[in-house]
Amino acid sequence: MSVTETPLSAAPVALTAGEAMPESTAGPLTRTDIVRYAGAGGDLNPIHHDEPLAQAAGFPTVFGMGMLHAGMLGVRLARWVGPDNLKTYKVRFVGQVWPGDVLTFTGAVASVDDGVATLELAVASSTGGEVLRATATATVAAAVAA
Amino acid sequence: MIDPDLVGKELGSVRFPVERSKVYELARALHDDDAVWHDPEAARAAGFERVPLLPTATVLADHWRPDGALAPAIALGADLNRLLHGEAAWEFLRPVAVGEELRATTRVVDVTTREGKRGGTMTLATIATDFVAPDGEVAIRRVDTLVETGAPA
Repeated sequence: MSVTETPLSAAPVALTAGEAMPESTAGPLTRTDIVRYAGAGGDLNPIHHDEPLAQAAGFPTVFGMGMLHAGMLGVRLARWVGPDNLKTYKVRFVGQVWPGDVLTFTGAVASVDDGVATLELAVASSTGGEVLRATATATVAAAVAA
Repeated sequence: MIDPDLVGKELGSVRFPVERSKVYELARALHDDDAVWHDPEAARAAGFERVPLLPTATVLADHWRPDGALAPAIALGADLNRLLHGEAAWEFLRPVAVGEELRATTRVVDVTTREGKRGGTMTLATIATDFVAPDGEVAIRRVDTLVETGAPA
C-alpha cells in the first residue's frame, strides 16, 4: 500500500500490545532515490553516489545511506502514532541497502504502560534480510472498549 | 583515525531554520509527499495547529555545516572510507513545528575501541546533538554512534 493512505493524526492514537503497524514497501530502490536523499538530507559522502569510488573502496556498487531507510521508517512510524506523539526513536543499522532492493517496513506494539507504547520496528531488504532494527516510544490514547 | 582525546569536546554548533521547502524536499526523498508535512492549510485541515515535523528532519541542520552530514565524522578525524553509521537515536522533548529556528550543538560523548570480527580494531564514537529552540529549551536530542572499521593489514 502507498504510505500516504494512512492519514496523519494530531491526537494520540489508541494502540494495544500486539497491534501491528500497516506493513508497507518501497522500491525497487534506484540510484536516483539515493541521490535525491543525498541532496535532501545533506549527505554527500561520495560512497553513496560515486560508483568508481565505492568500488575502489571494496564495495560492489554504491549503497543507500542509513538515514534514507531510517527516514522512510520514521515517516511510517509518525503516520502510525501521530508525529507530535512520538517520544523516542532509536535505530540500529545492521545491513546495507543496495540499488534494486525492495524495502519492507514493519512494526508492532510491544507493550503499553501508563499511556506510553513501546514499539519494535524493522526494515528488511529483498536481497539482504533485516537491514535496520528500531525501537520507539509514543504517547497513545486509551483503547476504547469493544 | 578517530581521535579519543576529543571526548567531552564540542564538535560545532549551527543555527538553522526548519524551512518548509527543505522539509518538502526531504519528505519527497522519503517517498511521502503528504502536504501535511509542509503546507499550513493541509496541516490545519488534518487537525494540527502547526505543520508537524517528520522524525528525522534533524538532518536539515547538515545543510548549514560546511561538510554537510559528514561534518562530525570529519571533525572526529575518521577515515571516511571505513566509516559506518551504527546507531541513531532521537528524544523528542517537545514538538517542533516547521517554520521554527533551532540551534544544533554537537559534542563527543564517548570514544571506545573493540576488536572487529574481520580483524583490525574498530573505533566507536558516540556523539550527541542538542537541538535548542529560541526560548533555550532543548526540543530534540539526537545521539549517534559512528563506527570506524579496522584498517586493512
